This record gives sequence, C-alpha cells and structure tokens, in this order.
Amino acid sequence: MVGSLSVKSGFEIEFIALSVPTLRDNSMKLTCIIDACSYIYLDECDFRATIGENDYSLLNLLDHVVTIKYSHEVSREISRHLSSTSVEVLARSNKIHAFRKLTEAEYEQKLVAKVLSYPSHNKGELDNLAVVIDLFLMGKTGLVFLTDDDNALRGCLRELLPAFPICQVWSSLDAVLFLYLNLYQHKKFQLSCEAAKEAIVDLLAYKFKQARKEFEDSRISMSPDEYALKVQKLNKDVDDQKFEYFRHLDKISHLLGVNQL
Amino acid sequence: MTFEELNLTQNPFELINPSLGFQSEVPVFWAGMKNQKRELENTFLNAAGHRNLILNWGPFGAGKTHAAFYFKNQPILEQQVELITLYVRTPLENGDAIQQLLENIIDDLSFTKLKEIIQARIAELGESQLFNLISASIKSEAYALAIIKLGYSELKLDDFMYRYIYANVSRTELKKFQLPRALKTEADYLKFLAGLIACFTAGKTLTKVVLWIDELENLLYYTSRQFKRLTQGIKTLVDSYDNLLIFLNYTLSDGDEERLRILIGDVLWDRITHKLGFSFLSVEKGLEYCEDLITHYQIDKSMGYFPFDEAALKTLFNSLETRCLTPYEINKKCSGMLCYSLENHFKKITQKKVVKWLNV
Repeated sequence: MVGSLSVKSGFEIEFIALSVPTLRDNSMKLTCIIDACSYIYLDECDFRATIGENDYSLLNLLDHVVTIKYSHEVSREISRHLSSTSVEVLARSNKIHAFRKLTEAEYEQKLVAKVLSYPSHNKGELDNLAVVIDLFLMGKTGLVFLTDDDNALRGCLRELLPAFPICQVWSSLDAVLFLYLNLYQHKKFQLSCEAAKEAIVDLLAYKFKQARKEFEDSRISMSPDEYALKVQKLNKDVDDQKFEYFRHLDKISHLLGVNQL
Repeated sequence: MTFEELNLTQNPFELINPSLGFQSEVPVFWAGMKNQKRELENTFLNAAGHRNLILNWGPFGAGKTHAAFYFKNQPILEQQVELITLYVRTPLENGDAIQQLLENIIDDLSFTKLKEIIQARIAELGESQLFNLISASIKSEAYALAIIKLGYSELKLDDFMYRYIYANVSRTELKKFQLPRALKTEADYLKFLAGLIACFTAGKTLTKVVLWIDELENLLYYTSRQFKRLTQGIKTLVDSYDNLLIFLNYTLSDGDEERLRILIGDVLWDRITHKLGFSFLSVEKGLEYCEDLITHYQIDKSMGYFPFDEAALKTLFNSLETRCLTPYEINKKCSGMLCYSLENHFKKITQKKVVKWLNV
C-alpha cells in the first residue's frame, strides 16, 4: 500500500507501508529515559505529522521507534504540567520504571548521599539517572538519557553522568536527528530532511520564544546595553543550534542520498 | 563646564533611541563607513525593476539601524522620486506575523498620514481609477474598496476603519459601511498590505515605498509555519511591486553568508538582490568614524579630533571589553569619557586622562 504522510506545515512525507501502517519495529530498539521538559517540548511544539487519519507529535513518533521510560518523579512533573493543560498525550503508566536492583531511595542515597524528598530540586533528573543505571544493571543496553535541562547538565549531573558511561545523552534536537535516520532506515515511513528541519525550527521556537519575549517585555526597564547583551547571547544560542542541527541533517541527507542505504 | 567650552555644539556620541530616531524629521548624520554609505546610496538611486530586496547584515551596533534612520530623511535621494519610508521591527509576538507587520507599518506611518496619502491619491486620480488600479493589482475588489474608504473623512467611518485594521468588526457593521469582508486570515492581511503599496505608488509622480524590516533575527523564534508565512509574504511583496524597496537588517556577530543563508531560509535568500555587510571597524576606520562625527559637531571645524587626541581615542578603543570596534561601542565609550571630562573640567582629553577614567 502506498500512502502519504503529510505534515501540517505544508510539506509531504512519502511512505510505503505493508498492510497496516505501523512505525513499530522491536529489533534493536533503544530505550529513552526522558525528562519532563524534553517530554513536553517534543509533545507540545508546533510540529505535527499526519499519518493516515492521525496526527503525530514528535513525542508520538519517538514513542513508536524507541521504548520510553522515566522515573516516578518525572511522571509526577509531567502530570503536573498536563493537569494544567488538560491533555493526556501518551498512555503513561507502563512508562514509569519499576526499580529492580535497588530502590529509588537507595539509588539517591548512593548517588547524592541523601534521600530526596518529594518534590525536591533535581529529584527528577537524579531519579532518571537511577533508572538508566538500574536498566543497565538489569542487562539492558542501547540506553539514551534524553534531557533538555541545561541547568541540570551543568549542575547536579555534571559530575555524575561522566561517572556512568553507559548511555548516550541526547537533547530533543538529537531525537529529531534519530527520527530522521530511523524512519528512513525502517523504510516504512520516511521523514524528509525538510520535515526534520521544520521540527528543529519548531522545537527551538517552543524552547526559546518565551525567554526572548520576556526580554522584549522588559526592554524599557533595562539599559540598552543590558538588553542588547541578553538578546545577543540568546540569539547566538539559538542560531548556533539551528545552524548546527541543520548541518547535521544535511550530512545525514547527503549520506542517505549518496549511498541509497 | 559645557560642551561649548570643548568646541562642541553637543555630545557627538550620544546614542540615538531607535524609536525616537526614526520619528525625527531632522536628518541624522552619517560618520565613517564610507563604503556602506556609498553602496546604500547606489542601491536607492539605481533601484528599478523587480526584486528590490536588500540584506544588511553584521554585528550588533555596527550601523544597520542607523542606516534606516539616515536614509529616511535624505533630500538627495528625493530629487526625482517621492519616497515613503517605513520602519518596522520583525514582530515577536505570537500569532499572525503578517497581520502584526501590517499593524506595525500603519503604526509607524500613523493612521492620519495613511489617510492623507490615500486622500492625495484619490484627489489626483479620482476614486474610480484608484479603485481599479488597486483592485487589478491585488485581485480583490473588497480590499480595494476598504483602502478607498480609508481616504474618506467621516468620523464614524474613521472609527470603523480603525477597528477594521486593528480589531474585529461585526457583520452588521460591515453591511452598514458597505464592505463585503473583514480582514481575517494572513492572506487577507497580505493582500491588504499589497493594496496599500499599490495605492502609495499609484500617483503620477514616481513614488517608491521603502520598507526597512529591522531585527530580522527575530525569525529565530518563529515556528516553521510562522517562518514560512512571513518569508513567503515578503517574497510575494518583492515579486509584485517594481517601486518597492525592502531592506532587511539581520544581526549576526559570527559567521559567514552560508550560515546566514541557513538562518534566513532559501525563500528569502534566493530573492535578495544585494547583500551589504557591516563588519567590525579597524582602528583606522574607527578613527575615521570619530573624526567625521566630532567634526560635524565642532564649533570650529578645523581642530581634528579635539577635544580628544588620537592617542586618547586609541586607548578608548583598546579598552573595549569585546575588542570589537563598532560605532555603538565607540559611542558608548567616548560619550562616557566626554561626560567625565565635563564633570572634571578637562580642557582636553588626553591618553593620560582616559587611563585615569578607565581606572576609576
């Protein structure tokens, strides 16, 4: 059956599907341990792909090609956010990791020398790291620690993550690269390079627009220098990421195009 | 102590507030950066035919916004042509960028001035001919009629037309004022904006509309859908009107044209007819900039850099934290030094005094 996967922002993604269209393929499936902000970015940014009659967010697409897991605390953070938006996007109960080797409290005690109360600062990120370690100790490989929390990466995770070289660390932008490559590889659905670039743009807009708007709103109360410095720094962060990820996508596209994998 | 005692009519390095700068009817002065000035003048004078889309790019404070202020009031450019110059920033708010662009353009021009221009065109061509011209240009009788009605002088209609552009109007009101449709979609707003340009350039005197779109780097915060709509909208305008010049100002500190192409997108990039880089200044170009500016505001114009001396200026340049010379950074430093000199009754600004100020 030949069909088309279209994305609402206007471009077309072609796919060839046998019988019932499905993105699921369990061979070599990665396990993504995702934090709350990445979950929300991937789900709530503007990007939508329409497959058949259904709309798919980036989170939905990712959920079809990887196994998504997270800690109890991250689940609570997501629930708090979803209750404010009244949207339930994924059936989530089976995504909460049940610890096997140690309990959540025992991991916390060993990682940061204390048991973290609920809720507490960085508990979500640290418990997600505990999920990664627990899965590894259970014999799982192909683990991905997916986070967009730059403060946590610079803070509580800065020394812990390098101590456990058992997973890749992705941002939501990396997830788009993976989706582009993975959907191509599976041959069932192909996300065009153009569509992947739109996903990058939508993620960056979702992630940074509010910060930019806050600078604009307080422009009058800031000195021209302070305003300019803040805006220049933010612009540079965003344009560096856009440029970098567009180039990554071009490299993937070039490879796929040249080699016809 | 006063500026006069330093042989100056005022502070040459005073920073211009962007909003006030563009509203001013007094021509602003251009200092240094002779290549950029020449290239921009040539662009104005030679602009003809389709596709007048010019990209000015460079670091923050390098003079892109100042160029918009400068070229707003230059009589030399208006000898054979009437210019209607508009300045807007790339909208940042959520929602329809084209709608915000249209509203910002009318804010910049003012509703009163907009009415005056339309009234002048009606007086010159007659209502029927103007309607036909606009309607043929944008393929919409509804919006051509709305633009004509903007030129009427009736209090109730004025109020209605104001809301027609900026807010919602009801079906009853539309019927009452005999307009078939309101502005709803981005396509509607784009058509209306195109209709205004058609109206502005419809007179017997050659008229060019010059639209400066500043801070285009705000596109970084657009979703892909918003990005496409705005860039496509600008492209449509550029492709449709001979007498429209659009200048895009993009602030980019690092990087080359390849990076810029990726950030701006191919839709606009492929339409750009001229790219003008505003780069960091060398010390030599920085001194040239200062000399031009100081001389312009000197009472006795034969005194070089006075009240500064060359070594003092070089020391100020070297003190810049970023080590990147732009007119903005130079203005900031030199202005600070001048104020300090006034407070401390310096009669000349030497390197030694600059070092003292820098160490305060």
